[in-house]
Order: sequence, then structure tokens, then C-alpha cells
Amino acid sequence: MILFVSIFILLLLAWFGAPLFTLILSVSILGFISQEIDLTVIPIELYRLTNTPLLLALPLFTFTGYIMSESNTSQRLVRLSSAFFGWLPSELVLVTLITSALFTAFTGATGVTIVALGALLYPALTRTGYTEKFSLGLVTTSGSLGLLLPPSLPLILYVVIVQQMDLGQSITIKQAFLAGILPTLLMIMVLFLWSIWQTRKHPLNKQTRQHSRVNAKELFSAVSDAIWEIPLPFIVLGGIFSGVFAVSEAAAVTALYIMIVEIFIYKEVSLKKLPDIIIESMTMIGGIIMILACALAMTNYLIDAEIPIMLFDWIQSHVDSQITFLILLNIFLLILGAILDIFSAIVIMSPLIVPVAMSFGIHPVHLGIIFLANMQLGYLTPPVGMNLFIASYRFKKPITEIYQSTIVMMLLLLACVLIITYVPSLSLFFIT
Amino acid sequence: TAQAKTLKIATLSPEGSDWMQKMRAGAKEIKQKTSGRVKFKFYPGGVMGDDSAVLRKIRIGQLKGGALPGGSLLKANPNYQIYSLLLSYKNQGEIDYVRQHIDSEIKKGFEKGGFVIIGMAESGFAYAMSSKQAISNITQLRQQKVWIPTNDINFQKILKSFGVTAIPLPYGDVLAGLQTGLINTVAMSPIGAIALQWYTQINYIIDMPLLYSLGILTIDKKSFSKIKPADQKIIMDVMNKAFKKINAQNKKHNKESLEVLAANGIEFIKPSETELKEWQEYADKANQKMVDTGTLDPKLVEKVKKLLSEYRSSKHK
Amino acid sequence: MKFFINLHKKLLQLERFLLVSAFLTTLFIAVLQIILRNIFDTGIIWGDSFLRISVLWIGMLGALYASRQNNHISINLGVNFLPKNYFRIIKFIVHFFTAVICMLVAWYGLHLVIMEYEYAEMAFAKIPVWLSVAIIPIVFFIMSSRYFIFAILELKGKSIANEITGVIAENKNFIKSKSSS
Ligand code: NA
Ligand code: NA
Repeated sequence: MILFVSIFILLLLAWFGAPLFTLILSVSILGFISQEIDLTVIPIELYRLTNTPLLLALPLFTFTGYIMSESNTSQRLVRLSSAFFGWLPSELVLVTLITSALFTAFTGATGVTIVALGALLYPALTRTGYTEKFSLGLVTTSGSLGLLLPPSLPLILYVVIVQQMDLGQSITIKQAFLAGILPTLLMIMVLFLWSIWQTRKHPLNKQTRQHSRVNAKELFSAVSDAIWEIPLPFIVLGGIFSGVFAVSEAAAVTALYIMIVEIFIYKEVSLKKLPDIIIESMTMIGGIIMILACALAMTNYLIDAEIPIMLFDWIQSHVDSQITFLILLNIFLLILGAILDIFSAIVIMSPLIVPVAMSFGIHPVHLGIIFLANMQLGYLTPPVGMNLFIASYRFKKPITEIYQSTIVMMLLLLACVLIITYVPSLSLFFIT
Repeated sequence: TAQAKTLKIATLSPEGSDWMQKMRAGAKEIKQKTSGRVKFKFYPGGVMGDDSAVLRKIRIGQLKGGALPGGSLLKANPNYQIYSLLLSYKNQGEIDYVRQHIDSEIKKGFEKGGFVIIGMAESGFAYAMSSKQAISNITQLRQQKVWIPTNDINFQKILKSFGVTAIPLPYGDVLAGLQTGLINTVAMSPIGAIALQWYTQINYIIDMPLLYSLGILTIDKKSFSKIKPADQKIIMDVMNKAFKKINAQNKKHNKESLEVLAANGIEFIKPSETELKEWQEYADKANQKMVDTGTLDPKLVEKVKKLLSEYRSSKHK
Repeated sequence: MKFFINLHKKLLQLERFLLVSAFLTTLFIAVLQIILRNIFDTGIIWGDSFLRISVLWIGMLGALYASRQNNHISINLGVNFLPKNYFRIIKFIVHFFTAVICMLVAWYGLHLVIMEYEYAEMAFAKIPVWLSVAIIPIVFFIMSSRYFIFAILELKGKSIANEITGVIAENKNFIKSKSSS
């Protein structure tokens, strides 16, 4: 009874605009009180944010994104992508999907892709003539793609955990990276085709459609226009692979480089404006980090009370075939992806799920792909998918508008996840 | 019925690992033998956080204990450092002999510091491993890009006393760092080097055990004292037995891991007599510093020296 | 009153200064690490720990900054259909609730700071853990005070909101968000 009253009150408070972090905190507080645990655990968990991997990338990449959005980088990007790929329909959509996927693979899954790249891609898309709704949906949706690509940390973590288990079947990181390729391509393909279909009746700006064929002059001019920004990906990748800096340091190099280029070379951002840009981007990050930190506290309560394990036990007791197992697994993982942070979810659940899944004849690498594909979708699942909130916050749009603009793409990705789940050969094509 | 005690224990060991299997088996036995009065709940895989976070949660009572690296409990018992002195134990036999004689004293020390030790098992010896160049002496070491775990100030002091400047990196960046040449020399146990995949980038190992480390299963003294003495004894007996098994198994695994490393074409470099002497001189100086700063009881150091010479002379006979 | 308003303005400037310098220091240390390693084959032993803690500080200070304009992530679906008086009462409840929750975290955060002070563990270099944890109760305490003020102002509906929080002068968004909600 008390439980239902509390839930009702919290929902009401949420409805009327209480900050999300206080709602998450109240769930944790109620939970810890019911477990008779000293509430000092809450600041302890908030402090554990300092142990979250790759977190430094969040403020640094966000700052970089904001600096680029203050300058004309997005125009240069549009021009560049149309000069190179203008012969493709919806080339900017493809650019959005691919860069977002790669960016997420490198930065983990904290929503930083939406915040950092969104600043660049959203104006580029709307400028090209895509509707606001479509652009919002695309940027939000593609923000979560990429979890299955190397060097995605969650995927590595999954493999490391499975390797430690005594399964009689060992898997490697290389296998997992290979397994993620086709599923990711499937998701990109589906979203890409859908956006071509979507824009068939609304031709884009004629201006940007001019260069439907590669034109050497325009190509040269577009490249020289962006000559200082083009080297960035090469500097980052080259730096990582040559050992000049670690993956976790790439964000710092990027931030410094872009700061110098936009302020001193393009001179599109004045040095005097720098503090304002820092404040604006770090306020955004503050909002997100607050949620991440408070989510740690709630996760800790769920773990302490062993709620995910109880849920999974319940599922397991209702399963008699591979199909029902997979269906329930999909639902379970979707919920998990919406309420737990991804690292905790992997650490707690994969040792439990893997042996059961294997007993139903599911390959552990395939399971890893299913696991992460569901988590990825969980970020987009209304009403509580984290990336939906981040997009709403980033683009200053009501959450309902974000729901509306992402729902179709989310359903398309759901279809992809189902295909990934029930067609193991898609994941295992390069492996077996 | 008397109320059941649930002992919540956190550890970094992942579910399904050897440690977890043995601890779970022990917990099951304890539950049976105490007729359900004492239950264990494990939180494996670091879900409760790193050592510092786990200790914090023990202090506020959310957790009752943890299976932790011995080094993380130094505050409770600085004398634990006797086991991690540099180059003090030349082989497995020596450390086994010393532990036989002083483990109980070390455990008492922890208890005084507020932690009841219900199990101790070795993680094993760490060795210096390098990817680029065979190393056998200190001069060569100084030319390497030596990795040091972030914030490990003690280790940094030791390396400094060897004249080595080290490159701090978090654990997660070490493998890539070795691949790219960001670093080329690390210290790690053979089991660890294999589990973390570092061995794929390693070409040489100095055949000289650097330092020894242990994992410890501990329960907060306050919580432990609330358990009936008879049940305390059951917990002690069962878990001690389980940890003896873990210890034996780890010893075996470390030995096998060294063989795996050799089979992977990694070269074992044996320092010459004079080189060994030089290593030892530097190590002794670093160890002496710990005694001088008062963190390690000189009496205990003397005792261990005596034990070692006892063991060595018995071996020579 | 004037004195407090001026003091408050100074504190707001301090908050801004802290956030900007925390960010720039973080960027500086991160880049310095790379330079030290590649040119001097060395590094700052506490560099990574510093960066991890500074992300927490940046996040907390950023969240504090966001609270100036009640600009935190929220759902906020329905207020528009209510009559203005009810609307105010509901806003009061929501702000009050936020303030109470923040105060709770601040209280237990203080408890943690004291606990860490007694335990005396080092976070990095010569910086103790209690000092790096301290940002949590500080930020939650100030946020709590802000939401208490929001709550009271919602009841009173006075325009001194602006003077007390000092937000209007600094940010036009506040007006926008007020008039649109
Ligand atoms: Na992405
Ligand atoms: Na690296």
C-alpha cells in the first residue's frame, strides 16, 4: 500500500515538473530506508561517479561540440558531405548515422554523442531542409548506435566477464567486435532507408541539392574551406594508434585542437566568449552528471535488494523453450537498460544470463550482442529512456516532442533488435 | 528462532570465478551448519565499487565485509606490509614457510584494527614484464617506459629509489598502452597478465619474484561479534578451509601460468649474481625505509629474517 | 538587505569563476599529462585521480549553475490546464519537495565528509578524500536553499525573485521559461 502511494506521488511530482534527479533520489531514499541502510550511502554512491570509466570525455567533448556550434562548422560539414556524397540520396543522414555510431563506440554510452555531435548535426540537418521533428528524431536515435562496434567499452566488459566464467567455451574480444558489425550495419541501413522513404514527398532545399554529381571544383573548395577541421579525426585516431595518447585522453586533445582552430584560425569564436561557452556547456553537463550520479545510488539500492536477480529468477521459472526465453529476455533487458546503468547491468546480469542462455543453445557472443542491442534500445524506450531526456534537455524541447519524433525510429530499431535476436547468423556470420 | 544474520560481502572477483565458487560453497556449508542462522550474500564483480567504496560501505554498515586485496586494509594493520616487501622472498617455499609462522599474528593485527579475517589466499608473486627489451639489471630498467598504477604512491616511491621515472596510467589503458608503446614495462602476477591479456604484448620476464600479494576475506569486527561464538567458530573453520583450497589452487595456477607464458614464447631473463646483488641492495634500502618511517614493526622484520635464514639453512643441508 | 544582495551577487560570480576554472584546469592537466609522457617520459602520479574527481566537481558545479534557473532535466507534462492559483500551489509543492530532498542529501553528505575526515584517506597527492567529497553537501545545500526560495516565491508571487536569485540580470532564459510555463 505504502509502495503504491509513494509511486503515485512520485509520478504526480514528475508530471508537474520535479527535477528528475530528485525523483531518482527519492526512490533510492525510500529503498534504502526499507532496507534499513544508513542514508550516507547516497553521497557515497554519488562520489562513486569518480570511478565511472571514460567520464572525462563527457565534459570535454560537450565543450568541443558547443564551440563548434558557435562557429560555422556545421555549414562546412554540410557542404563537405554534399560535395563528396551529394550523389547519394539523404547523404547527410548517412553521415549522421555513421559518425554518431563511431563516436558512441569510442565514448561509451553516456549520451555524450547527442550532446556533443547533436550541436553539430542537428543544425546541419535542419539547414539542409529536414524537418525539425525528423532531425531531432534522427540525432536522438543515432546517439545510441555504436555500442556494438570496437572499441566499445561495454562490449569489452561483457567479454572480460564471460571469459572469467567456467563455461567450457571461451570467447574473445575480437569475436565480439566482429559479431557487432552486421547488426550495426542492419540498424544503420534500416534507419537510412526509412529516412529516404520519409523525405520522398518533401524534397530538400534545392540549393543543397545542386551538386548531385561530384564536382571537382566544389570538392576542392569545400575541402579547403574545412581544411583545419578535417585533420581532427586523423589526429585523434593517429594519436591513439601510435600511442601518443590513450583513448581516454583523446577528448582533451580534441577540445584543445578545436578551441585553437575556432578561436585563433577561423576566428569565429572570440576569446572573450569562451567563459560563456564553458558555462553553457558545463551547465548542460551538470544536469546530465547529476542524473548519472543519482542513478548510481538507485542502482545500488536495486543491487543491494537483489531486484534484478529476483526478476530474472522469475523469468527463468516461466521459460520452457528458446523462443519464450528470448522473448522474455528481450523484455527484461529493455527494462534493465532503462533503469540500470549499463556497466552495472552487464556486471550483475551477464554471469546469470549467460549459463541459462547457453543451456537454450544460444552462443555467448550472440548473447552479448543481444544484451547490448537491447540496452541500446533501452536508452530510447519511452517513457524513461535516458537519451530521450538528454535530447529534450539538449535541444530545449518538451519531452513529449522527443517521444513523438523518436517513436517510429525506435520501433524500427526494435524490429532490428528482434531480427538480431532471432537470427543468430547475423551476429555469428564472421565467427563460425 | 534467533534472528538470522545476513553477512553482506562485496568483492572485485567476478561471479563464476574460482574465488566466488569456493566462497559460495563455503557460505552454503555455513548456512547448513548454523541451521540458517548465518547467511552470506555476495556482491561480486565490483558492483559495490572499488576497495575504498567497499570499506566506506562497511563503515556505514551497508556491507558487513569484503574479499579484498590485502593492501587495501593496510590502515587496519600496517604490519601486513611484511608480505609485500620487495624481493624478500626468493621463491614459493620461502613465503609459504614464513606465512606458516606469522599468518596468525598478522590476522590478530587486523582484528585489532577492526577487521576479523576469515580467509587469506595468495594472489601470488608479481614479476617485471617487458615488451621491448630484455631487462636483467637496474640500468636497463631505467631506460624503459615503466607503468605504474595511477595514484599508487608507495610503488612510485619504490621506483624512485631505483632511479626509475614511471608513467602512471589507469589499469584500463595498460593493454592498449603496451600495444602502442606508450609503456613497455609492467609488474604483474602471471595469472593477472593472462586474465588481463597483457601477456599478448609481453616478450620478456625477469625471472625474479618481485613482491607477493594476498586476497583477504574479512568481516567487520562489530558485526562479527554479534554472532554467537559457536557460529563464529563455524564461520572461521569453514571459510579458512575454503581459503586454503583457494590458496592451493592459486599457487597451482600461478605455476601453470608461468608455463603458459613460456609456451607463448616469452623469454625468462635470469639476472647474473652481481645483478641480483644490485637489485637486492636497492630493494633492501626501499624496505628499510618502511621500517624507518615506523609503518612496519622492526621486531616483526627481525622475526621474518630469522625465519628466512632458518628455512634457507634447512634447505641447504 | 542591500548588503545581502551584494554578497549574493559576489557569490554568484564566485560560482561562475569556480566552474570556468575547474573546466580549464581539467583541460590543462589532461593535456599536460600527454605532453609530460611524450616529451619527458614521465607523468603526474595523481593526474588520473585528479581528473576523475574534477569531473565530479564540474558536474556538481554545473548542476548548481543549472539550479539558478530551475533548469534541471524534468518531465513536466501538465500544468497548463490548471487555474493559476492551483498552478502556484502545485509549483510550491514541487519546489518544496526538491528542496527537502536536496537538504537530505546535503545532510548525509556532511555526515560522509565528517566520516572521511576522521578516516583521513588521501584522494590524490596531498588532497584528502573529505575535501573532494565536500563538494556534494555544499552543492546540495545551496541547491536546497534555492529551491526553498523558489517555493516561497511561488506562494508570494513577488518579483523580488529576481533580486534574490539574481538570475534575471544574468540570464534572459529565466524570463522565457517563466513566461512559457
Ligand atoms: Na551513436
Ligand atoms: Na591507450
